[in-house]
Amino acid sequence: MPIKFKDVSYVYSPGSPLEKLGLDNINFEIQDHKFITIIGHTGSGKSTLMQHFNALLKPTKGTIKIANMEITPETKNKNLKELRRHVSLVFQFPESQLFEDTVIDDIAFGPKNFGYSEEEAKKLAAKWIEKVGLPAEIASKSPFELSGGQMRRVAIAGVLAYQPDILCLDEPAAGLDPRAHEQMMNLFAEYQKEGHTVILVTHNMDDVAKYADDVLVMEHGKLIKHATPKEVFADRNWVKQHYLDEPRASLFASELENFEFDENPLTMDELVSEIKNNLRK
Amino acid sequence: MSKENIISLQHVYFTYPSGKNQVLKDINLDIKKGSWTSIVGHNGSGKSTVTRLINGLLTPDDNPDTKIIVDNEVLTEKTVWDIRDKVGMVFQNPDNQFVGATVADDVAFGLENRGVAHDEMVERVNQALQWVGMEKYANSEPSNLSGGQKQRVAIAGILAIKPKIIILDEATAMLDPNGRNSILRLVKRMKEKNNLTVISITHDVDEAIIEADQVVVLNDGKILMQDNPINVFKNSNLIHKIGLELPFVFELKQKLAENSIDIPSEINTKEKLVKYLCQLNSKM
Repeated sequence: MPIKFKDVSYVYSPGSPLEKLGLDNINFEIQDHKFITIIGHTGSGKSTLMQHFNALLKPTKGTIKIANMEITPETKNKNLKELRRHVSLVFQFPESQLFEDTVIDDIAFGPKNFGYSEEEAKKLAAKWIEKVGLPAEIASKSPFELSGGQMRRVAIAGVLAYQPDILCLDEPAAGLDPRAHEQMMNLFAEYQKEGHTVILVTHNMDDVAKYADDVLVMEHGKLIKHATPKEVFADRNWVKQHYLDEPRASLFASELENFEFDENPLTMDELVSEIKNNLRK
Repeated sequence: MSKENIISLQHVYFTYPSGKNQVLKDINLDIKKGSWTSIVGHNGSGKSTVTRLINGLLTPDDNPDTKIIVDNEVLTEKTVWDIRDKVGMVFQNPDNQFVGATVADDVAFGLENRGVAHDEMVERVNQALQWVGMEKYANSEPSNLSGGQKQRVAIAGILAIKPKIIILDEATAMLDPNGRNSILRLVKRMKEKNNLTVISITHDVDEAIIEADQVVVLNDGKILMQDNPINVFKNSNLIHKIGLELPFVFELKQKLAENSIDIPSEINTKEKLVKYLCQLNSKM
């Protein structure tokens, strides 16, 4: 079932002097099992939007349809546990939320919380330790003995272990070294291909170009564009007007003045093949 | 130590008190006064440990050959406080470094610690905030600022102490591209204005190649390479092998070579590569 936002607005601290419009009449629909990225400046409403996916924030106005549920301003909190089993949010620096004595207990906490038995939960945890690329012997260690990159993986394994249908992540690869960054992104891409929806808040336009099916562009609480990466970056003037960054390949291509591009290249591979085509002509 | 080196590490080894493995092995590193040094390496390669040894936050393993010299002073228990006045550090997460209730208080913290007289303190705080473009926020609460603004305030707090060396420990990793660029521009401006020496620990190899005079590649506690950026990044196989990225231009050159488009080695910047490709295209 697609995710659908209809006329969704959100107001922070309504009626107080600090009242602020966080989301301004958002409308969009995304199909199942896609890789979605949300881009925009700090303060544009990306995180506010993300927090609506599992009703951590409920709309002040409008309706959200997600995971067979409908969320409106009237939705009661007690109905939300089922939603949160299906839709997971992973915040920036999720490693700061590790708390158990061992890695395996930390990862098993999520599945247990959603009704798996102790034994099933541990089995799932062991499986995900491997899937996120950690060595099996790490299971009995304290998560606090690990390096930052390893802690990040443990935290993410803890969410993936109960297999949410919709996985929402805020800058999950920030601060990782390049190899860890790529492994992390490939993990999400694989998770999506296995039949889940992945929604990623990011500033990294190279990742947008490489992984996204759809891009949601936020500005001042409004959704100003919902399109494929190709369409978003095709209009360079529009991108500049909204002070958005471009993928590095596309920036480089724009400086090759006497080249003709069939399509604005967004990734390194596309850039190389376009350069090749031009030089052959 | 030659006259123009501001930092010299000689035969430095380091083991964490609780650990068994040596995390730094025989580090020898000279840094020239007024230069920009980028230290790259994967997570856990020992980058941050090196910088914490420079200002005495960590103490190297006992070894008769080990010597750390900062601004012509050998680092000892006696000189460590003096040396810390000369070395300012900016960390990745600005939220972990705020102590003041307002931006101005926060910038003043280091000066208060050092017993600077009130009038001079006010003047230095104002000047530092002006340098980083945050004078309008002097009375704001640090928690209400954006990530980039917070890093500006953190940098102001360091500039107020008038250090000779500024160490950025992944200080821009959490910022969006605009925030990152503006912080880099700011540090560059301050470097020139105050003749600072900059050491930047970073995963951003594009930053390293544009800003750095020297790039130090650390791998598993050892210095693998130490040279100007162009000489370092032309070793593409080695860079990939240790889990690092190549700067965009070098990556592109390598991919083009794989497609039988060989680019001469002297074409090593973005500007040169653009020009070279355009010429190549007009000849065809």
